[in-house]
Amino acid sequence: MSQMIIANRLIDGLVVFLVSGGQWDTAIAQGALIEEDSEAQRLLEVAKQDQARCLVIDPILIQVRVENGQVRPTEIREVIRAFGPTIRTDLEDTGPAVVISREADRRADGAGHLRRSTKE
Amino acid sequence: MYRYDGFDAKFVAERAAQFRRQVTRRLAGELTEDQFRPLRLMNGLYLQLHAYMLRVNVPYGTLSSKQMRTFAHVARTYDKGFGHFTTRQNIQYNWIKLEQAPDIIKELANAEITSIQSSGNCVRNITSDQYAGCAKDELSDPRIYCELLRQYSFLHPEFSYLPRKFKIAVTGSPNDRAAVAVHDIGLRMHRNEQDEIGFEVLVGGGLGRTPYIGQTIRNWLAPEDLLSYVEAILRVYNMQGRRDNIHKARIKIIVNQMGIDKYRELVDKEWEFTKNGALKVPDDEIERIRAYFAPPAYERLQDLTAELAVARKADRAFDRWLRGNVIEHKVPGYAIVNVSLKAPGRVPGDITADKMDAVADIADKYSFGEIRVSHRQNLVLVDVKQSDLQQLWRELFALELATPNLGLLSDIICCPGLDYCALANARAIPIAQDISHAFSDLDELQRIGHFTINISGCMNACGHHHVGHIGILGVDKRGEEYFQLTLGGSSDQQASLGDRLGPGLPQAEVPGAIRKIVDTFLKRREHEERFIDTYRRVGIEPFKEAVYGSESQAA
Ligand code: SF4
Repeated sequence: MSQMIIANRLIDGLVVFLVSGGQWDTAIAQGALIEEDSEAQRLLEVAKQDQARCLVIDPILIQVRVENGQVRPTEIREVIRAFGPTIRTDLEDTGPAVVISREADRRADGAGHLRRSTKE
Repeated sequence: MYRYDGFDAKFVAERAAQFRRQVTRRLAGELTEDQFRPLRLMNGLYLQLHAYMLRVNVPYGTLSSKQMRTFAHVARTYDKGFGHFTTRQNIQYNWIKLEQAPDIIKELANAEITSIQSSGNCVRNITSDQYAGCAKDELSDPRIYCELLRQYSFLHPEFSYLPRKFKIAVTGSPNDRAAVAVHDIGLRMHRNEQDEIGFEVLVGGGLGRTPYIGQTIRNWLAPEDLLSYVEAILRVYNMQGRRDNIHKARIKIIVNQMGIDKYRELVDKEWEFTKNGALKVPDDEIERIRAYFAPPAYERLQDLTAELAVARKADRAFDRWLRGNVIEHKVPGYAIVNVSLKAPGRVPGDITADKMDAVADIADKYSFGEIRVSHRQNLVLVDVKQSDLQQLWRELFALELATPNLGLLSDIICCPGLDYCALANARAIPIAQDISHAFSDLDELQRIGHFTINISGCMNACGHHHVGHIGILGVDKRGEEYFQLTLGGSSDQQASLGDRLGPGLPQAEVPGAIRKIVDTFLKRREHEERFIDTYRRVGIEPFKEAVYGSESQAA
């Protein structure tokens, strides 16, 4: 099983993943897949320096799996952090609803930014 | 409504400016997270799974239309266009950016709203009956005493670092709609033998990991002694409460460990020193605060029973809504209208910015510009003319805010759970959505009658699961989400904690289990019994058998 480093970005709290170049990205697909424990520890140190530099909060290592080409955390909590709330929009009878999936946001404006879309 | 005086306004503005400096220093790297966390929490700013969350106080659940528009503006400008009303009558925003939090807090302060003391080990928002001031069964408006306590406890230096958070609820009616028995202090207004109004004081109630129903520490307390007595309770707690173990730090733990008699003795001893001192509340102070809650300029009207009967006959949907969501008002010709935030399949307590604005407009048009938030996560328009009911209903219906399910099975209380909350074990919202979707047939809901389902995503019990007729608690079972059901809880004047039904169930099985419980109830029900009455009469066994079968019951 692979690992990845996840944190919240200080300035807006959004979930970010450590990228191989040492930057952070809101898309899990960009996150560096870590195979070796030694590498995991080394990158965690890098992440902690970013915490000390007030870029991110609480960086941790999580377990991930690659399924059909998509990276997915193994724990439900991290899945929700990676892909956004799982509020169901298929159950509504009628009328508008707020769709707040981060994936949908990203598709909509390409930046993983916050946006409201309505199903009207 | 209470309006800020010069002191309040100046203070809150100063605090907003102070918070801005703190955020600037944090972003500049001058403060570590450990240094900054307590500062942001003092302003109600949490870090959740996906973003910061801001919890904003709605004192005793009373809001002006202007304040509701400010909430809408914040939702639209700084969040994803919606907000979530909570079981503490507050609003939470789930997608806040730290860099924008100071602007939000400043905008809120301009509308006389704060998030101060919505977090931390202090006296939190004081909650009350959402129908306060208008309910027919009320002795006196509880908000006067809530406001008195709010002013007293706001940034009180002695009580800013209690062992743990502290929640007070006040009801002015014998029919408890404020769940006072599950608060650290619950105040129940009633008359003594001399026909004077005072409070029964309950202490040590609370949910969470170790739930307790509050116990009566004093049968009757004169309003003039309210502050000194509450102070004595707080002071004893501050000295005796445990600071070594967060799970044992609430007042309920010490009250139950030492026993209510011993706790009373300590409080009385403390009270001796203070009861005739500066905290005695003079009548004119109570009257001064009462003036803020003066009733609006009601017209002299008659109840419209006959006219409404005609309208109801002509329109079944209107009839259903009127019977379900509209409550008697103490003034003839007026009514209290509950605005359901529980449409089938929706997130309980969530409302979009556009709907917040619409509700504000409706409140201006029909209800003297005032809106209430209930701890059951609905909104209320408390002063509606009966002659406006049908038109109001049409407008709410168009906004999908007229689901006639108040107090019915789909009027679910639900915390944010693992979809947002960093402390959660399991998701709560999708369960609520599944259940309200499965039980969306209004005829069926009405047949089932009064029924409460309360869902929490973890032991912290923000969804008050212990006091739901059915409580649902999310638990983590080896990394999987499971849901533990309890039956027989209630938060009204006959408060009780639910009994555990059996082993936790996976999410997919929960709606089916609810269905089995309901079917069993309908089979066993006598006359027009409510579920809770049937449950108290027949006990848990038939429900256990229905959900788990007779074999697993033995296991
Ligand atoms: S009950 Fe638990 S999961 Fe729900 S809001 Fe409270 S802390 Fe979060």
